[in-house]
Amino acid sequence: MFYNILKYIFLLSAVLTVSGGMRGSYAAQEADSRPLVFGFLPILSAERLVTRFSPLVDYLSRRSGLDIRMETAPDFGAFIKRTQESKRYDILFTAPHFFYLAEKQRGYRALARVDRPGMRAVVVVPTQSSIHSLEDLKGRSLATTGPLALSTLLTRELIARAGLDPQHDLRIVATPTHIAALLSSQQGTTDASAVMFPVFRHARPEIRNSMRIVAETGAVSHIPIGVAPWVDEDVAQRLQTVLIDMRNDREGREVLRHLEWPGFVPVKPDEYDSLRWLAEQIKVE
Amino acid sequence: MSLSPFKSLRVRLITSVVIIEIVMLSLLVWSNLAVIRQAHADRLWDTATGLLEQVATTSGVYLLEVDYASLEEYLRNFTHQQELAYLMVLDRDNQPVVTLGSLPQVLWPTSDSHPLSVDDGILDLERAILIGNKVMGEVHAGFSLAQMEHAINSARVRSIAIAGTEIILTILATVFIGVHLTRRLGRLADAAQRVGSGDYAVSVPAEIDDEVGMTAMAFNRMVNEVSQRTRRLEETLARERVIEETSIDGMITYDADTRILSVNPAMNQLFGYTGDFLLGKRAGLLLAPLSGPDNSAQDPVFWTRTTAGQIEVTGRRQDGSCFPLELYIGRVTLNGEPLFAATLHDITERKQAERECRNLLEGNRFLIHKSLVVQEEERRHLAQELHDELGQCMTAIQADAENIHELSKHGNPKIAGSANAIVNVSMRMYDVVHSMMQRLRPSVLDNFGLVAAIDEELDAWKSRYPQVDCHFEKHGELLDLGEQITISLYRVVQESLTNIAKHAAARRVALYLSREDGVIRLTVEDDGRGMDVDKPVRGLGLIGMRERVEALHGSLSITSTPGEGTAIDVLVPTTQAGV
Repeated sequence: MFYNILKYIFLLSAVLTVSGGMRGSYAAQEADSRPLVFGFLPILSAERLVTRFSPLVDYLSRRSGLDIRMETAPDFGAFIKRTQESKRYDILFTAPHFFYLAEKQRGYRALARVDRPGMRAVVVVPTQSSIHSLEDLKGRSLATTGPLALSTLLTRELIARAGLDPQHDLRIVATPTHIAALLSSQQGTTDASAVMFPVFRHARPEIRNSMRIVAETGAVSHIPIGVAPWVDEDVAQRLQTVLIDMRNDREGREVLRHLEWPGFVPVKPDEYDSLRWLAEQIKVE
Repeated sequence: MSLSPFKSLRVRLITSVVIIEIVMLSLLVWSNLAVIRQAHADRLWDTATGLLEQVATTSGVYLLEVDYASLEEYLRNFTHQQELAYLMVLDRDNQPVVTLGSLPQVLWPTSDSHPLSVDDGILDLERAILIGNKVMGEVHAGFSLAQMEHAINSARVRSIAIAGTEIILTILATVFIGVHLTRRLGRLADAAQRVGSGDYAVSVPAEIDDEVGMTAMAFNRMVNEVSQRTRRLEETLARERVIEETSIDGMITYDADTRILSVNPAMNQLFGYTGDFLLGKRAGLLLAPLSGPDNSAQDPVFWTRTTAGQIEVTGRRQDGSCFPLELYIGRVTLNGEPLFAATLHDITERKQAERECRNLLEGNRFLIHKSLVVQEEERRHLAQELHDELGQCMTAIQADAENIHELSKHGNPKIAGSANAIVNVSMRMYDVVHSMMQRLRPSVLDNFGLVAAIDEELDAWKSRYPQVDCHFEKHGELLDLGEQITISLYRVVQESLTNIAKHAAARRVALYLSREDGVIRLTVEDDGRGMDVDKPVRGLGLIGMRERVEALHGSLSITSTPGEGTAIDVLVPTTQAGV
């Protein structure tokens, strides 16, 4: 009798333990009803960022059944700081070299990246400019976005390889956005501009046709979307599945058409390790 | 006559103007305050909604970037807005991320629709913070109405002060103008009262040629006119009063109900009443119960008929004695009501005179009749005597003269001639006598009646006037008409033919004699020059004819127009004449 009672108590405990464990796998996210915060690198103004990426966030939320909320930061530095020093962003959309830092230092995992060959920066000048090579930049001014921007870092590396000291041989002028950097030289404020190639390609024709490319940087892997290490694996898997399968349904294709992206593909292991040299140049105050 | 202050034009004018001024200014102040309140409310609403819209538009970036410090720094720019009571931004979890000012006790109050609908002194508003149609949070703001109310109160005080000043000035101006204006109207009113009491010597000075002045001038003209008319009226009344008081005829006035309203002194003398006894009594009291043409003198209809002319009635005195009256009734309308006036004339003496005249006339007629009868009798006797005595003698003379003539025919021619002359003279004398007998009393009248006598008279007349066409028609039983009728009608025919021969120059004469329904009718017509029947006649012929006919209780009428002949129509009743 006593054993029987012990046996029942043991079985009941086992059942409760198993069921509690099953529930526990979702507990981190579901017991805490806090929505997942999708952090976006402020590559655009806040309004344009919402206009451009809110369809993607809404799509992910609907398809995954998760409450996902979009956030950004006042600038790159603040974004990196929030990524590195707090558990602010559950899902991360950031530049490749910033993601390398997040991956290596905070344990973020890449779910997918944009299915494009790579990202590169270009140095452009007005068509009638006397600058025809990187060497011609000596003593001139070059407009870029912030010092932490991928285009800035890639261009600085390109200029260094051309034998110029980016620190002393030319004057690098920081502007708030890529388009501001492009317009700076187009309107004569600076002598040249360094922007990501898609920015130049999608510039208005009258701007694009009034400028010419002087040099191009090497390509790096495209922008990834990752999840924080505290996000449940099942949730991460659902998000990844939605991203990869996005091009396979009509609604997903509509979102991709809005983003002008072909789709998302899985990230290879250590795909962003090649950006270590860029990441090492990042100094966040 | 003292005037009640509440009826005074001056008091009513000033009171009315002041009341109207107070009411109008109150409405004006109320209207201005409503406009001011609305304007302040609209301004606060515009300010509040503008501020809220600005915060809602710009705060989304900070919320998306989770940059609350910058958001707070940004929002502090709005704290200089004095009416802002609190400002709070909530994130997407409705958690306050920035709070400025003192929060309301109830979180979060319902958003107000307009400042004028606020009941707790704070205009609470909220807006969603959107970026790209994505809700990033909410902004709540409260705006104190104290400043608006302070401004409205200041405006209210100013408006009331201005209105009060205007009312005081209006009262002063109204009193001044009212006193000045009504003083002249008061003089008019005093003058009117004096006129009302009979003083027509009053005159109001016009002073100024305005409406009151023109009214004063018109009043003076009116008083002058009234004075003249009153004097004329008094004179007329005095004359009428003299007539009434001195009249020997009774005069009364009475209403539609025949109630006597006034009497003159002669009434009391006529009817034997004293004082005002008759006033208020019915007019029927004055007449005998059976008087009046339809024995209805007591009926108000008798007294209120409006037919003009006199009525002979029988009056009744207070002592019950009756006397003949002539009654004249007239009618006028005063103030829409009929008023009747009657004049009662005592005709006792006239009636007595009429009776005496009638008796005298009857006597005269009797005497005439008797004289005619005597005359006819004398004529008949005379004719008879002439026929019996003188006729016989003339016949004897003629016979003796003829004998002498026959005896002396072969003897002395002078004797025969004398005898023949005697025969001729006696024959002429016989003709004369015979003619006299016919005129005095035609024997045919007694022997063959009226028709034969008229035929004979007409034949004799035609022999004398052969140029006149004579015509005689007769109808009915005309024998045995009686001597009086026969001789009278015969004399009428004789006289008519004599007049026609003397005056008419007629070419045709027609006689009609008939008897029907107890009436004998004789008509003599001619187509001569006629006559004016209204002109008094000097001859005795027509008078004699009329006297003869009326003595038979008949009637004689003459119809004639100058140039168109004459017709004499005689009607004689056979019953009165004993036929």
